[in-house]
Amino acid sequence: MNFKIENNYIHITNYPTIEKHFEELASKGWLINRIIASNIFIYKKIKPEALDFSISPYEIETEYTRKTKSELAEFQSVCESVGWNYATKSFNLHIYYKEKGSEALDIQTDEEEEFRIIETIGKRYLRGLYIQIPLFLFLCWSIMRQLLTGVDGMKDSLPQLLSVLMPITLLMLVIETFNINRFLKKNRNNMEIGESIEYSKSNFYINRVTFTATYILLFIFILYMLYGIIFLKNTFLLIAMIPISITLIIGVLYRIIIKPSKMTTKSKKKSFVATLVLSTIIPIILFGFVFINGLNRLNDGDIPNIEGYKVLSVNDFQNSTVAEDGDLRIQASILLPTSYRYYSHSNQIYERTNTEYSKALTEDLAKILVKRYVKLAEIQINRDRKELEIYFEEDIYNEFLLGEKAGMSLEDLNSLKDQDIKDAVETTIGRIKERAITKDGGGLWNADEAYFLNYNKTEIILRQGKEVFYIDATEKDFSDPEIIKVVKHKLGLN
Amino acid sequence: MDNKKIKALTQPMYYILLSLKEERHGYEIMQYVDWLTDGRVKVGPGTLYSLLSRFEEDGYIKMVSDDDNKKTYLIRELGSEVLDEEIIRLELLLKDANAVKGGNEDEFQNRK
Repeated sequence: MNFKIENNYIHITNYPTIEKHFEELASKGWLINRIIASNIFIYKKIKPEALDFSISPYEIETEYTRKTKSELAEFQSVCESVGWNYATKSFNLHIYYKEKGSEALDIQTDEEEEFRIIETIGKRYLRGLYIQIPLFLFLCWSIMRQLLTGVDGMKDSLPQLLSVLMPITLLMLVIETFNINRFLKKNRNNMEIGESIEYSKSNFYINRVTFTATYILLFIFILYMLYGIIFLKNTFLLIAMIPISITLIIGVLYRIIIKPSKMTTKSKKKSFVATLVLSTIIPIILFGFVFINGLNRLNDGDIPNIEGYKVLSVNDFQNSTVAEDGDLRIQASILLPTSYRYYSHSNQIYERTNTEYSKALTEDLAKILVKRYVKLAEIQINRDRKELEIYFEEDIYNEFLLGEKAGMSLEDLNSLKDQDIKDAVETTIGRIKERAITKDGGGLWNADEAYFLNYNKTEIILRQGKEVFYIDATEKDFSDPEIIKVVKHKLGLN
Repeated sequence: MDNKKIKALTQPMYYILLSLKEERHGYEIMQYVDWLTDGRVKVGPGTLYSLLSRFEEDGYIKMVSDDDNKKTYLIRELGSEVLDEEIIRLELLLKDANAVKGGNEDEFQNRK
């Protein structure tokens, strides 16, 4: 093979060590050809040669400026004039080589100035890291919360993949921050007392491993996104890519057009602010446009083809066919390899049904999913807490919230009036939960697990083996034997 | 443009500003400094271009032309002021060194 790929790490804190590494590899017949993301080193085959390498920090890119191609070409041409050959670069580090023993002027001849460049680059890295770390901490917390408690966390592969990717990335960022701070502090002291710059001799194994793990996970992440969009026809995933894609495109355009341009610094700062604003507003507007126009819907027609899917429609409960609209959404995740949701509604009879079907990897996972649906129902009830406080304070009996939704009569409520409002609300919430969320103790459904999730029993969660069904339908009492018969027949339940 | 003054010039800074009393491009600056100092002071391209960026940002020098991937620079008024101040500082250093070499200890002891 004429090329080889290596997992390594080049950084402002260790580049002299990398120079030695390149020299060693050149003596074995490999010349560095390209470096990707500071981590993937690509070498090309050469005749084994004794070469000297010089890695030099150059091209300090700021928020507003970046060296133009002609500036980089001029620098390269001058380095070549003094005896060096250009190999490649990795961000702000340029790599040159020459034959060992041949005469050439050093590229960096003043260590103080070299450290000043390194310090400027280092401080810029640190500013970015101080913004990224809290952001990643928040994202980690958010994803773990979704994964460990939410229904969506089980249905969606994204939090499952990100739950591994995010902590690894966060660890990398923290290690990087620590390393750069330590390096800069030590060498600031060295410069003050006239000592040389001290570089790291570490092999950076942690950085290399975390980088590699991140790339693998990113690759899996992209594969999953493509699988979801192309095979599962999950348009929601496609739409979710819109904000990040637009932001990336705007950012890249700013970097390649505005930054190296001859505009004044003041104009570039204005362009920078405009870029930030546009990259926030445009995705929001596009996202909104897509949803308002129903472009996130899977199906082109009003009723998708639901053959083969274990879902209900409004027409399943009608004696004669009514006009119906439907929205089918398919998901798949590591924990729930088969999962979809069908929402059917009719404007003719003002009824709707919502079926969420999932087949878990194991029965234990199916049981966990059922528990999460139950928990979700409890959370919905807890949301009424504020309203209940108002009712107790103002002595209002809400027929819908308390009567229809929870079976709490006026007498029930009056019996709590003497209590402290907070205690009365807690007692009411407790009673609502008891009356709304009930197990199918009577074996009506003959399922492995069945819970009614509201007082009127129009919401139910069922488990049969690894299969879990969540059904919610307008005015359909799922404790009614006739309704149970229709549903079991349609969903293929015993 | 940030017109702050660098407190003390390093050797490469001093010679780069000196060489830009005339319009020169990067490689020419390196050759001029090497010639002026008889090879005693070498300014590498990395050091040179870093300082040229810094001087341009601080208003010490200006780019006067950009042809064929070669930018030519010239010192500005602020840069000349900084250079003159440095020369005065160096002259004072030299004066003090000569006074010590000439033997001024008695003068110091009898200064009262």
